[in-house]
Amino acid sequence: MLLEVEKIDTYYGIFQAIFQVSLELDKGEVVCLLGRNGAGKTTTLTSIIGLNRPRSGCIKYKGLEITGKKPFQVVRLGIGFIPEDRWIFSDLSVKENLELGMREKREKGRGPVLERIYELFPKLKLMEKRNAGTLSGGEQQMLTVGRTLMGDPEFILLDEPTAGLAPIIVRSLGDQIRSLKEEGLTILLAEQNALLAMDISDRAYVIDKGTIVYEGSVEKLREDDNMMRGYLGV
Amino acid sequence: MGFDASMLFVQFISGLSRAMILFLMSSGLTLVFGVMGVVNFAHGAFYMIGAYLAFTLTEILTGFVGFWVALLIAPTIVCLIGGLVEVLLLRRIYEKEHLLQILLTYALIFVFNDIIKMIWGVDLRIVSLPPALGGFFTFFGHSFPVYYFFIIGVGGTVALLLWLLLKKTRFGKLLRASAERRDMVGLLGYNVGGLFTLVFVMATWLGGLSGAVIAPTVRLSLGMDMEIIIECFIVVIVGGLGNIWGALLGALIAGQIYAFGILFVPKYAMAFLFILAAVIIIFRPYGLLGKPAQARG
Repeated sequence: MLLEVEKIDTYYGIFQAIFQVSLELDKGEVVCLLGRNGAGKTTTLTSIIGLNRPRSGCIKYKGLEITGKKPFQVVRLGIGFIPEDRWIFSDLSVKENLELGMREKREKGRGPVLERIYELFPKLKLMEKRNAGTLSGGEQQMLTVGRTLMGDPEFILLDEPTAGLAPIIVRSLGDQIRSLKEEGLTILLAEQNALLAMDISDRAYVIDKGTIVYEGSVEKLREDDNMMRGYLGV
Repeated sequence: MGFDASMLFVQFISGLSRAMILFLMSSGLTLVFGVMGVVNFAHGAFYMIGAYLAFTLTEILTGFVGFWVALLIAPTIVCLIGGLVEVLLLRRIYEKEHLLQILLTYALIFVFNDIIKMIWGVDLRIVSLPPALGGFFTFFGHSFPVYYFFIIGVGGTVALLLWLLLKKTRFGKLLRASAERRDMVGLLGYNVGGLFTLVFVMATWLGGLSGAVIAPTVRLSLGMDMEIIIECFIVVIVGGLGNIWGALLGALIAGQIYAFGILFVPKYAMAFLFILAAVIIIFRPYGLLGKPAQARG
């Protein structure tokens, strides 16, 4: 397994946000974590990346324990985190945002990375000189994804990439995530937009009130009316 | 007494040199706040240490070289002390409430004042200028200390270097990114803790430099840190806390207000500064070049 999360409990002060959450991802898989607003999706992701430290439980990446490590240490192992709120650097240009995503010069032979990002998001190339603060929501989302990809992660945590975006942009973002999958990237996708996420994913987890309530194939989840209606509102 | 144009020019130059000292100081203060989110009350203490170190260094190395060496070594020693303070003390409280930061940096003022008292005593100290900088220019019948122009030159150079650093270098862009979204910088794999240490070292270096630069123009005494730090807080409030160019603008305004205030109503020169700060706080609380408060990452 690439990622193993075992029975983690994470709190905000005295409020417990997730309970005994366990999940696994294999290399190359795209797995979605579905659930309503406030169900614990983001907390699960931030616990993995190190923004919130679980009070108990264990997280392993490539067999190495990463529980309680700082975000920058986890990121340096090859994990990327793409926050829902995008957190672009609005004072810097689009290109400068992307360049900061690449921490160090890559080994030779991997090709010009910036060009690959521009291939994936041609729109970003057209506005590389613009201040990132002037971008629309969808463009900012592309920039956030592109910036994290500049760090050449093997595995990304994608938190609600479609939140607040227009349907047409959601569709093209879906295509872009699919093409990342084709490139072999492992993705854990937290989404409220269950239909889109299930379209892209190999497997699914459903989380509700901080507890995992479903784990299994996307097909089986689709047929599970109870799940679909009760927890996902579809 | 009539005010002719040349008289006004004298005041302008004097205001400009004062502004440059204020900028050297405020840039460090605002850098630490902008990137690290810490209000460093002890910034003045680093300035005072810089001034006293300049005194000792010019005593040891008399003659022409002494002053220049002091100008280089004093800020360097100060920034090493700054680095120690960050690593040993400040680092422990970033994630705690702001009150602790205020208590800690405020306490440092007393600690450093006592250390200075132990090392240098309470006597007033005077740093002599090297001959080349000690003279006067005469201009339309008025004389300007050459040292004014030296201060303006140092301030201008630092402003230019800071501009190049922030605009052109990767490190500078990282600083700007951290000022906006600290968390995200960590999420891109950068060690934000290390970045903070460097920022604090830079800021205390600027504080030490200000102290060394101002040393020949004042009498060194305990409490000289408090005199300037209050003015620096006004400068950063006027310009926008956390914004380097705001600090520059604020310093230029404060310098001129003081210079012309003292010409027309000498008693109330400082009062104008406080009035300006009050007006800014009421009508533009985020400062002239600041942006309205936003959630910080």
